[in-house]
Amino acid sequence: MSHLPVEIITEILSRLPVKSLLRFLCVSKSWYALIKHPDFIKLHLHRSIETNRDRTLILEKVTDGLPHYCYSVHFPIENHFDKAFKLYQPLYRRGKLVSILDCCHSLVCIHHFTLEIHHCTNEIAIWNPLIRKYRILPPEPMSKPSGFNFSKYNEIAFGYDLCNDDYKVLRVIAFYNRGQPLKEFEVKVYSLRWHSWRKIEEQWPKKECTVSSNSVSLNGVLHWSIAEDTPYDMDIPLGVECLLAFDLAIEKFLVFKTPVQREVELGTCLEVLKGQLCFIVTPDLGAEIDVWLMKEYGEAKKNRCEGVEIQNLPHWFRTATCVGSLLLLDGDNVIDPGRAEEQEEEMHYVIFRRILFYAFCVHEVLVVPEWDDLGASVHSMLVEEFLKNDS
Amino acid sequence: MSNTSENPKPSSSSAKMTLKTSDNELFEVEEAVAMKFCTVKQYFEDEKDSDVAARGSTTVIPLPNVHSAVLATLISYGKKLPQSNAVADNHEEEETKKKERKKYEQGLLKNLMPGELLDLISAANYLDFKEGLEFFNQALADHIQNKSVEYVRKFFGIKNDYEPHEEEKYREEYAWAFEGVDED
Repeated sequence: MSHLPVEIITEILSRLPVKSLLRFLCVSKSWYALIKHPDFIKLHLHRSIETNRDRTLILEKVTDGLPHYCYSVHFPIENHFDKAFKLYQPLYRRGKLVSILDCCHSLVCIHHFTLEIHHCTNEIAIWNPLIRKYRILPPEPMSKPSGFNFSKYNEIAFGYDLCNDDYKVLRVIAFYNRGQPLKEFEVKVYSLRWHSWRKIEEQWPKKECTVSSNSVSLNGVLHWSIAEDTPYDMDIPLGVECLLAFDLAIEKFLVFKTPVQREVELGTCLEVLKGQLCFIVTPDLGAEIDVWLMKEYGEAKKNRCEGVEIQNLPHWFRTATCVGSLLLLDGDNVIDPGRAEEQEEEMHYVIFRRILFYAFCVHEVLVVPEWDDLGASVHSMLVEEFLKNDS
Repeated sequence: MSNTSENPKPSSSSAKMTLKTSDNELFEVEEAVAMKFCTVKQYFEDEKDSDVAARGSTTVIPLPNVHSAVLATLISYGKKLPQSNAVADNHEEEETKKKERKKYEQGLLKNLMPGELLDLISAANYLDFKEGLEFFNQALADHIQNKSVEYVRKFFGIKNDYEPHEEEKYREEYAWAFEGVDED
């Protein structure tokens, strides 16, 4: 029996879950070279996305409104979630809370979360929880221009640059003086490929506005929903909304008219569903939500969705969806502090004081958590049902 | 074991082709199925070009790299695939066929020895039988997914070219990936 040609071996290996491949790095030096090759990693990621193998939710446990530990929940089958396991993340430090910024493919961007204003020097890391490796971004100072007394994060976002096959972090710091409207911004971009930051001349385009949604990476472009600032300081932004985009390849900001017409001013949640930008809005505090799917900038189709209740989902927020991938194979290992066994933890209901709105997309399923005083329930919608309205 | 009893009732005047294996077995196969083996398709098309009267004549296509037992399985699998020239089924018929195919596939895999998978993959590759290759590649991936490093080396006939201390280093780095592996 002749040995199988290398193309066939590659094909077979690309169908294996991450855990098996990490083990098979040991089989021989040629298998090691094959598995670690960037082309194979790409092929494997592609397969993984297609087949939902290794699909895992990384969740942040939120207690008293503050993000806390991370957990991973494997869910190979639609609407079926395995038990949650505590996950040690690389920025684990005493007294410091870590928050998930965003997730692209299977790379999760996390950073230290703090309520303080001057948190610009906190650590940021890019982490692949399925292979348990990470890379901490090099600390990058900010250069405060003269004439300003205060600084704060205006925005920080993570995305995949299609053109350059690179993962990037965008950091925008705002400088201001109390009581004065004028702000100046410093915009920097970190590239995973070059493991370095760069300042770019491009300016945050809207001086008097607040970001009213999470950021979402789609087709190599970061997106946010932003609203013009109001005279008073409110949590809930009012005013004209628009869609802000940052093209990671050409590193330029673009502003678009938002396709969403809302009657009530609530924060918008952005997601990616079926390769399209998706705006999730609750028209009022009821059980229904409006989901707008944007095919092209400025145009979107609205769909009102009712949910199908699913059980078993841990009631936490700020999630990332990982698919199996070997991205970041040459990072640092995550060390478990105290080397405790993975344990299942009791779920607790969390009641939010403010109306916060999170949604996440689990391959083809949009999951939108909701709360009432009795606890939390989760509604999920299957894309076929959802897109039935889409002609 | 002769397979000339592979005479299906002529359903729609589909031409048949004869394939000859490495152990000199002859297989009569419907053209629709044989065309899924792109190597055969290529051979047939080359023959057709060179001999005007070739179509329908008793051309025997030699497959010196394929054993009869292996070809039998591949043909059997090929027949269960949706035929490209078949009339489009309605949704219900399609669902039933899908279920049938799933059942057939499960039965097929249950009766296969792991070593046979390697032969099937090799043959499907030689025949350029895309659907068969995909199916058996996945079956093999499923089979080795939870196996140990030693099993995989033995199975594929791979020599371990690591120094002991090198191998030890990787085993430590990814210790958690070695947990819960099947016993050899």
